[in-house]
Amino acid sequence: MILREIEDNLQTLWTNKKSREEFLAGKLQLFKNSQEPDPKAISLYAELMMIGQMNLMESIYPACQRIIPDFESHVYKYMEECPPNHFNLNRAARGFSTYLSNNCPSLLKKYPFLPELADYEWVELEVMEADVEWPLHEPVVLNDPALFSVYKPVLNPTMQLRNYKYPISEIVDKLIDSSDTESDSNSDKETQKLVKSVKKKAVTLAIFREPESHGVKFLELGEITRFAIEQILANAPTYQELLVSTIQAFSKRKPDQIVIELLDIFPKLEEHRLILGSIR
Amino acid sequence: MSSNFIQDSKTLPLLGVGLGLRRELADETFANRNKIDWLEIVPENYMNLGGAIRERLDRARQKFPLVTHGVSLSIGSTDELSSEYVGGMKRFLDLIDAPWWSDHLCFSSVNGSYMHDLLPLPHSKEAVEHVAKRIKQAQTQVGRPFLLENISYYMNVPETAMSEWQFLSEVVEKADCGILLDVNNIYVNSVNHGFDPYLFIDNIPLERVVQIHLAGHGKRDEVIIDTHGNAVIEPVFELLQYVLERSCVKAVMLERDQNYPDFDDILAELARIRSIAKSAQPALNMVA
Repeated sequence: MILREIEDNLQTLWTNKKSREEFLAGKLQLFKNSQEPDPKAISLYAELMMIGQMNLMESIYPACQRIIPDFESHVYKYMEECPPNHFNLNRAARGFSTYLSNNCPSLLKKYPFLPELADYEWVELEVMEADVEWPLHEPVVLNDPALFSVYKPVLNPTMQLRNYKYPISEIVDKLIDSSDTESDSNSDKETQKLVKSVKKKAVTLAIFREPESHGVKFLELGEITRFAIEQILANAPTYQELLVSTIQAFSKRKPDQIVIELLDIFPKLEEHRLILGSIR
Repeated sequence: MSSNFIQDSKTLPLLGVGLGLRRELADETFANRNKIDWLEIVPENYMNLGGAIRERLDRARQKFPLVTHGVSLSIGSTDELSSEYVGGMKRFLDLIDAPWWSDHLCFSSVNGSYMHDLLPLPHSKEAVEHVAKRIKQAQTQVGRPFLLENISYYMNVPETAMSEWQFLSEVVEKADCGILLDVNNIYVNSVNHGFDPYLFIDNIPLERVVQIHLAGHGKRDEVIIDTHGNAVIEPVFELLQYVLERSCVKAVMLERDQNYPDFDDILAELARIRSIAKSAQPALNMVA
């Protein structure tokens, strides 16, 4: 048997539950009789891999773990369905939200927000680890109208925008609160109560990392702020261009109200470090 | 790079007694620079990553000499070498200016899937040829000396036709690379597979050993598992002494990856390693 076949066969036995069970029951023969690997060792390697998979998924998806009954079996099914394809271990967890959407209809019926919750937990890690160049910027106080046509806002380069149908930040906060304060059994009851009370509510979140503390922030955006952020992302406008395009986009609203709202928002976003500063 | 690893390795820097950099131990590690000569990092945990991870790497670079110890090169895989991985490794090693880099004599991926474990190869002529060829390829692409580590393994893979030490020796001779000798892995395998660990050491080219690993292990049913989650046991320290008395290594290092004890216990283990190094190879005693 050549090396390629050996690796293929071992991979099958270690990572495919059905094949492994057949092999252990003597119903599947992938090697010559005299070369058959020790069944105990096949099981041991499979168990060691599953421990690693479970540790990984628990660390990235603690909120999902609290909600999904039999989280462990879903982890193994997910790993079989979406085998890791990157050398970075964390990336093995990347497709869990899609897996839940595509493979778990009964879970989704009970917990329709689950794919969004998984995405929320994944994106936190992605933003936390993002390798970015922090762009040049200066802390400009916009106290002179002339500055508006010269300076452009600089966005935090780690930012990702998400449009969710459910108030995911609130769900996560409540889940964490209930697990912090309750005993296990009470906590499970609280989780079920919480899950039943979740109602649809569309939210847009900006998720980004503070450059100094490296902490990840989830900021809920109103529609004007969301529009402004999308404009900055797409066109890198000056403050003046941004004001004009926002007024045009929200033509049913009074222009002076939009201007006042934006002038109020810019320093707040800078304080949050979603906007880092300005650049000419 | 010249084709004579043994000749070239004489010019590699002497690093002394080091520790694996782990997130959970990072602050205490940095605070004990006077007791730790150098750090080993797992490159997959740092390559192309920013934020607190990059900050930790930068702090480590400022304070310590660094070398990498990878887990995903998958040198024994029958897949193509990952150009993303090898290219990323080259850039990363350039960034930290590591004097050498290392990975394991195993495969960890096949058919494009990573199993994220160190999986045993058959100890066969075919595997020797295959792995040696890939080491040469990787070493050429990266442009820095490569060390291959002996793994702990829990099964004999089909088509195995030689001992583990013969397999390791033939691979490193054919590839012309160095050895990262893990004395805990020798111990674990000697118990699980019933051989004399000293026979292993006596039958490998010790002149190729550049670095040594020590770690603790655990037990699962009847098998000893290389967990890096317990204190180093006496027979493993004895193997270290035995190797050091017969070789001229550049670095010795303690691996601790889980079940973390008080940091003073880790410092005590490093002090023990240092005292063995001091008696067997005085030059290795860098900071004391």
